[in-house]
Amino acid sequence: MIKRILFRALIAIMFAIPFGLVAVAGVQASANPQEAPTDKDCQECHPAVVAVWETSHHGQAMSEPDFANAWNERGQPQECLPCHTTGYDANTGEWAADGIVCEACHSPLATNHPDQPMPTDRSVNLCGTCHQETVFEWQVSHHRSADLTCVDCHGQHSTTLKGEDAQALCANCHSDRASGFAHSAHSLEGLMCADCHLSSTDGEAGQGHAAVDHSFHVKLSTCNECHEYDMHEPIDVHANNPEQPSDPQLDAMASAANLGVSVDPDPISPIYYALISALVGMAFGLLVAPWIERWYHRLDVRDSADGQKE
Amino acid sequence: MTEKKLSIDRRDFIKIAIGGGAVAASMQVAQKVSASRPEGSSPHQWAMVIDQGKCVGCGYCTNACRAHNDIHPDISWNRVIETSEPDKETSYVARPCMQCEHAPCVDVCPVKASYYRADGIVMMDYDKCIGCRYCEVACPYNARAFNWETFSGENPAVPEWGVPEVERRPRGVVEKCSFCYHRIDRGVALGLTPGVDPDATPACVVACPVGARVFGDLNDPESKVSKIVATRVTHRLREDLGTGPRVYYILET
Repeated sequence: MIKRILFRALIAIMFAIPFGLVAVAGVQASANPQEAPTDKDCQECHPAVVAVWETSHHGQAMSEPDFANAWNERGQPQECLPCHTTGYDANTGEWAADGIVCEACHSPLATNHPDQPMPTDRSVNLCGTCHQETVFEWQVSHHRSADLTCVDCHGQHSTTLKGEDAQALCANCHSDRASGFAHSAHSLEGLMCADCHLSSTDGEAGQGHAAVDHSFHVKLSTCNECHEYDMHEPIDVHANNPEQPSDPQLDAMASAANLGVSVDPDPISPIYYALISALVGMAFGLLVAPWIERWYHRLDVRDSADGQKE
Repeated sequence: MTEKKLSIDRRDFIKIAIGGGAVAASMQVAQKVSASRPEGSSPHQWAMVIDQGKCVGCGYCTNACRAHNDIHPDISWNRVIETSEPDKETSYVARPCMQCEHAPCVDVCPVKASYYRADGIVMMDYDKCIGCRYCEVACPYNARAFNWETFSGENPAVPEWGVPEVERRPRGVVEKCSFCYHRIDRGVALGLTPGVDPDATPACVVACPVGARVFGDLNDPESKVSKIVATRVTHRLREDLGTGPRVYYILET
């Protein structure tokens, strides 16, 4: 009898243990719903995307040596962090992650992803929180009026240009111009659309905050970078051209050139030299004025004294 | 009784025979038609409008389609065909599957691997497909492609143009554009509106940088697609064939 009771108890315990474990596991699972995914979780299913992102400007916003060195040299100023980290809190001085990570554009996180798609913010406003100047420039461009936004030309994850290269990307839409451009003098010199339409706005490209002008307008200064001496230089254009009608002024300039007189435009006109010299003289005059006055006074006094003596 | 039964003469017999035959034939036809028609009904009828005046032929749609549907680089579900005439600007015909109302590909499929969904999408059952390629020949739009080999290795369109959302098809089956039914279904299940929410809209429509593609429900009079079809001059490719395509084109204005 006792044996049987013991046996039943043993069986009961044998069943109780796994059931209990399952219950504990179940309770724990329900107590901790789903934790917020991390970059590692993203990588599990999207290795290709994460691999591209890691080498992108966004992925390296914090770790990139040029930034890291400059930031450390300056004593790690907090001003850099809103754009070089994700989830920076100015009140506590803490941030969620180094660099611009998945959550910067895919938030709030969908807890039942992949059943539910991750939210994706492709808006210009989001890019503009950091790339303010670029967005300002873009706002006056024709691309804006055609509703072409950042992600239409830039890979969202790679941050590089879509397509094979910049020229091919422009030619996607501007095919008529691109085909004509191929035969132009600019093209033969190896210039591309971006060389003039996306001129550098701030320092050398690839250095820190150096950016290119996203208004896509070609400025006179852009032309001047190469054609400085072609601008308003009629002598090269007309003087040696026998078909051009003779112009006395041009002829005079041409003869001046033949005489070996430089007709290259001087960076500063002689009038300015004269003005500057005059200013220097005036300043000198003001400085020495008291002495001159005193000397003159003394002369005057001596003269009058002499006169009195006489 | 027996006398009466025997009194059926030759003419009556022929009449009955012909009548019976006609009934049997019509039943068979009805059966065939109903077999290729979808089971159940759907409140939606998905359709696409492509504005040829806006299309610049950039090929973003083709790339996005290749990435999202994990398509072999040699195959295009979504081709952009350049058409040029002398002294005229080049125009482009973006050509997805037309999702025909009377699809020749569904009619010719001997194993019913091509079938209609209730919402009008012409689907492929890759498990049923025997690779006979009848459908590829039957399609007047050249929208179908055959998998000559297993697509292994990396997809060059990933991840620049998107992330695969469906399984790769095996070797030896025909495949074609599916209107990104997986995106539509997922979106509808989540309460999103295909054509409005990018997560529920075909990848090519989302990728188009100039907004030349519009997607929506023809059953919803408020959808963009319904409004365009109702108010603008649209045409469909090879309407004379009676296929009833669900892709509408706006000509350049």
